[in-house]
Amino acid sequence: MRPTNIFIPTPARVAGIARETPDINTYVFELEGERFDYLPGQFVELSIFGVGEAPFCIASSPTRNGGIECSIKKMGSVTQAAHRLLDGDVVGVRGPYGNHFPLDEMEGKDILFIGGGIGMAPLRPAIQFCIDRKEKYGTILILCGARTPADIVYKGELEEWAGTGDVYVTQTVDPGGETPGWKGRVGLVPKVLEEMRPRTENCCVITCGPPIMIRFTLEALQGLGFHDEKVYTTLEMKMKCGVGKCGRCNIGPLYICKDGPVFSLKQLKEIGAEI
Amino acid sequence: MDRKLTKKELLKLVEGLLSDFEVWAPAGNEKVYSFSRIEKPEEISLGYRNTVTSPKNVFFPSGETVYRLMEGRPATGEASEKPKLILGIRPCDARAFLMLDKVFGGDIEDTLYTSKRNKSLLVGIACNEPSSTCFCTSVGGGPFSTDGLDVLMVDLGDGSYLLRGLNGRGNEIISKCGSEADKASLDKAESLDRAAKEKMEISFKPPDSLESSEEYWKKKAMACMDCGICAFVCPTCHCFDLVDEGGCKKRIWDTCTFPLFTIMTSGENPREERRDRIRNRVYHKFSWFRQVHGEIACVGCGRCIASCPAGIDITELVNGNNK
Ligand SMILES: Cc1cc2nc3c(=O)[nH]c(=O)nc-3n(C[C@H](O)[C@H](O)[C@H](O)COP(=O)(O)OP(=O)(O)OC[C@H]3O[C@@H](n4cnc5c(N)ncnc54)[C@H](O)[C@@H]3O)c2cc1C
Ligand code: SF4
Ligand code: FES
Repeated sequence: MRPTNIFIPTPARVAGIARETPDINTYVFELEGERFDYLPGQFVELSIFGVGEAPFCIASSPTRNGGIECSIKKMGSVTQAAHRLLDGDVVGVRGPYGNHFPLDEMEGKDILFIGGGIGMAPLRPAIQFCIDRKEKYGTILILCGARTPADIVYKGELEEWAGTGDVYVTQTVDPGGETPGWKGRVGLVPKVLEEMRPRTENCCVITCGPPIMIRFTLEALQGLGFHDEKVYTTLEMKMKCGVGKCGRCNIGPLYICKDGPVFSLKQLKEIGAEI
Repeated sequence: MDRKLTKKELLKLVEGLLSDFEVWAPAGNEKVYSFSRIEKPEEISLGYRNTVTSPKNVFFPSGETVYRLMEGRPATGEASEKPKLILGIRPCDARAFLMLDKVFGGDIEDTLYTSKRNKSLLVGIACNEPSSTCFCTSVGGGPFSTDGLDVLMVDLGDGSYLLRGLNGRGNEIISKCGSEADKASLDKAESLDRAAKEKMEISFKPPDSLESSEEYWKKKAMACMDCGICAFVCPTCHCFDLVDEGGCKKRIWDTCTFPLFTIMTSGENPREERRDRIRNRVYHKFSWFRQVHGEIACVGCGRCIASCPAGIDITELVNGNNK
């Protein structure tokens, strides 16, 4: 039999919608037909039929038995159409694409997760994965930042994680963003990180967020003494094919869709990526 | 296998091929622009130097349907087509397909391309008269290169053609036509090969490392008008876009030299500057593809040099200040 056309997505049904923030929803998609295996850090190309396609990281862990979840921030054509989806609507999913966080290599270590805004989406499957296999990992620290309390994603789940043994969650909002009754920290992520003074010994870091946050967070991590090969982040480039063929997402010889999106700070410095 | 055919025998061969293959060939009289699908042997024009566009559209059309929507879902059901045969392809363009095979094949196979490319046959024509913009010999090819071909034809200049079968499938289609080539024809082909190589006007050795300074690329890219012609005529350029149009998902050619190619919804654009786009295109061909696949992704057809309205010459970009 001829292999099937890789650009034809598998139909999937919307099986749940959670309103995270005023402009971010999390969708549960149930694939018609075979489910696929994936690891935290990988992404899918989501089709809103007749509108277009865009890449989204899979925001749920394969250790949970639900469908594929994506948290989508309203931006342009596809993401706006996604925000008009209703329960039961049919979309298309192709993937999984890209590499993943090296969670296997991180076994036995502490992990520090640092996320800003929608940047929490790629961290969520990794956090769920580590919590579900907690016996394999050390202490888990989660630092989650957003502009205002209303912009924090996964609010309920953050509480749940904080209630798990040996998992510590710190939430912070930008200065001026705090509202009456806010119990978390106030301050930009890199600053709060410095104040937290996390132990660097036997600790890996996974961070994701807006470019400006990433830039200063990576600086702060280096200042705290984290080695470049222990710090991981994801890169975002415009994508179309997701499989290293359309020529859109390269940095030098690397296609971010295929060779990434996960890179260590060491790799980023080697390829000369601007951060 | 070497066969010698008269023009008439060649037309008869094509006539026979038309029943088993979808035949594409350079067609037209005065100026041959492109490869077209032909229905009759007489449509073929082999006396051309090189077509304005490359034959990559045979396997990678400038626009094609990926799927159609039926009741809100992708419908498949592709019609099975006859295998494709490109007749009169130049050796440089045949080598280009070996490079596109690496891009569209590999561990994630792109069947839009491979379903057209698999089972295809390439019957090439050697270049007795290279154009002034040709530089295949500088990038690993040659006017009589057989890389990627199933049959190579040589116009012997006396109204007859030498057809060289290069593998089993190539031998099979030529085995029954013409007569066995005599020594004189083989000698003639060899001397034409030597003469053609001597006629090449451009010759250089691509440097192992390209110029990297921002200043350099800024200066070189100044005249570019972002028209993208260089990529559209290029036999190895493979950038594309996927778009939704009239109930269909379509794949259309695109190019990394377009300013909006990499712009994200946030407005961020990693290759906003023209110098970075031109640099990306040249580096991709002469450095990064080489790192990943072990060869340069330029076959020296010279089309971009001939077509660029700004007069930008890729060999100059590559050779930089060392030339
Ligand atoms: C690996 C990866 C994972 C991502 N994960 C998430 C996620 O979990 N949640 C989320 O909200 N967003 C995520 N994004 C960003 C998201 O893909 C863009 O916001 C989205 O493509 C914008 O598309 P649009 O159609 O709404 O905008 P338009 O401006 O209409 O964009 C048109 C098309 O251009 C491409 N494009 C434009 N901007 C981007 C971009 N920033 N990245 C990639 N392609 C782009 C897409 O194909 C898009 O459909 C991710 C991006 C990448 C590269
Ligand atoms: S053909 Fe010339 S002007 Fe047009 S994009 Fe290419 S280099 Fe620029
Ligand atoms: S998205 Fe097409 S090459 Fe990466």
